[in-house]
Amino acid sequence: MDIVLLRKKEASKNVSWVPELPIFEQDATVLDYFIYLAGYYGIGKEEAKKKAEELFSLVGLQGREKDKLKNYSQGMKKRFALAVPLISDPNNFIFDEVLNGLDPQGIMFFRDLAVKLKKENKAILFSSHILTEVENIADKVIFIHKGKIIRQMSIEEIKNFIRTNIFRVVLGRIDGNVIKIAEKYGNPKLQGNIIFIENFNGDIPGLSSDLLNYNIIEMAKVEGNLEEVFFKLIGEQK
Amino acid sequence: MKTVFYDFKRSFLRFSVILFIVIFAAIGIAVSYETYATNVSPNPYYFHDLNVIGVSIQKYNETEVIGYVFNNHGNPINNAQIIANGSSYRTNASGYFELNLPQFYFEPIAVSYNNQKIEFIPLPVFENGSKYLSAEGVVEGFSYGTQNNVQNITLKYAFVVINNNGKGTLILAIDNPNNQGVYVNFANYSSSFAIPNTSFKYVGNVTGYINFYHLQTPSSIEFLSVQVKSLGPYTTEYYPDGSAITSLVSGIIGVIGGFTFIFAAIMLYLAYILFSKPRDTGALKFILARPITRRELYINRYLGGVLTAIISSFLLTFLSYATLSILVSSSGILLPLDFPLILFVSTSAALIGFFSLVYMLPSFIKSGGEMLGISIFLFLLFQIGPTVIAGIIAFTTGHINEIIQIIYGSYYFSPLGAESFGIYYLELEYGTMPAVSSVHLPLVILSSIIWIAIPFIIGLIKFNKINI
Repeated sequence: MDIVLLRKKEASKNVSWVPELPIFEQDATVLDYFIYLAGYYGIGKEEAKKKAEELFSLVGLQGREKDKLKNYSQGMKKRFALAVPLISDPNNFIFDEVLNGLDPQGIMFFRDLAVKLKKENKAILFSSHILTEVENIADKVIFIHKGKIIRQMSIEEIKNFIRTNIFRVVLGRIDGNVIKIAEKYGNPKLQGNIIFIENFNGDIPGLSSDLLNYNIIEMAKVEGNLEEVFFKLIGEQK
Repeated sequence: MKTVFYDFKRSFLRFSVILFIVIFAAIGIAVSYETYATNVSPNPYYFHDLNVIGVSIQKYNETEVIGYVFNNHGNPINNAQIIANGSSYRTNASGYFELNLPQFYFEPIAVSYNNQKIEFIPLPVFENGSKYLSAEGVVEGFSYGTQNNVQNITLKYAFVVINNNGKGTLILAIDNPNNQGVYVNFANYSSSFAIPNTSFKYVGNVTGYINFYHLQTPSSIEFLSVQVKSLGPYTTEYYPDGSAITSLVSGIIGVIGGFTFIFAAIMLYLAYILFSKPRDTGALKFILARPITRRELYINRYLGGVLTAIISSFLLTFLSYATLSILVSSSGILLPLDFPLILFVSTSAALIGFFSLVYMLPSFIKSGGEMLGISIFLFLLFQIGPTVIAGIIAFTTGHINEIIQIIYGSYYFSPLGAESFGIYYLELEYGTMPAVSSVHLPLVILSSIIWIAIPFIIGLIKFNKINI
């Protein structure tokens, strides 16, 4: 930590931080503020203008340079927050809850960007509550609960962790016999018109022919997800 | 560092800042002009570089007028045109002229030189000139006693005093030169008229109609008494730079004083915009994620405000100075440069001192609203507090007659005190302000430095430690 403080300026050049709610001095125009912040990277006005052109088009803000920052939407502010540190072409990115408050287009932009940066061997620390997005992007997941790291897992480990042996059948009609039929294939539980069969023996053709009279609507193996892992980890999973 | 200039630009090119500078610059120019116009319009020659002194002697069948034409430094003007009784005359190389006019001729006589014109009426003694002359007077009196066996003769004289940095000249025109002794005395402005005869200094004898004497002239406003024996002394005010400068300077001081009063509020607002608001909203976090240390950010934004204070003060003081200088340029006298300099330095010091204080606050108080509230309280406290507190101290301790000393002493305890001290020094030099024993220049400088440096350093140390 002390080293980071001592070499704070150098460290800052290597990190791009996009906060959940980027806050700027609202009265400045976007280009002006960019030029100002570029000054801290040791870049003069003219060069900063060139950089702005290049980076604004990269993050999709071209044409909006003259706007005041207060007129920017959340998504645009995040794009601007991303454009600024790109001045020093950093190798590390911190996307702090970056998807919150974004429209679908914005979500897609940051998701695709993260994947692209990953391919370029950049390190991205991506915090999110939208676990499906994390699944799509991450190589390694750190679970944090109440401010503490409770587990660190690679995506492979997670896949193994969540591999279940539960089969799920949705039926159009239910009667008293249906549980008895299902018991032949594992340990069934009935929830409304859905049967969950734990320790499923894998005989899908047998199960489907036995339940033919119950109008099968849907049947599939239950896949676990990050959410389940998270709840499992914090011991709150049902 | 380029970012400093950006912070400066953002603080300076702000509607409120520009508006106030424009308003005060306009007031500065207007007051300069008004001060000039009220002094000049009725008497245009007050600001000219042309003066005349002399005597008229009634002779049988004619009036002989002997005069001397000189500039504001006391140097003779040769080839000045004199128009009297329809004829044109010229001064000689020594600035003298001599006219022979009809008996009892009392019509105005014009003296022109370099597009400037003054007039005088050929009374027995006369003098007329600009307000840059340090002192002037016309004396018509009776001499009691016996001189050359003639009793109770009338004696009339006119005089002017020119001050050239302490080396003064007394020009004396006398209608009855008779080897009289000439004495002068300078007395402190605040002391009474009662001047002991022994303190008069002998400067020479009267040798002709127009006489010149060397004097040691003081650099502050004083009472000057001139005595031509054996008349009693004639006392008048002595202005080292002429009363013109005094009236001009006091006009400008009033404007600058008002500017500092209001601009301190702008400095408060700048501290809020540059530091308090971004800290409160969280905008500082994003800036601090750039390759910059907290110390650099703190200093950068501080300098932005400081530059605004300096440039605003500079613009106003030197704009007023330049306007006045142009208006009075025909007088041949330069307005003293220490006048805008003292105003500029003291105004800047006061504004920066107050800015340092309010700029320190956001390091301790996250809420912008609270910071503004406390700043406004401090603004009012230091604007009116010192005088009120000094008054209470003087009253409760029974030192009412020392109230001025106590008030000036209290200015050491205000960041805005520098301004009051600056005006004090200007009033001391060009106005009628008597010296105040509690004002000491080293203490004035020290208190200004402390007010600027200490809050700045405390704020910086604290800012390095806080959780943004």
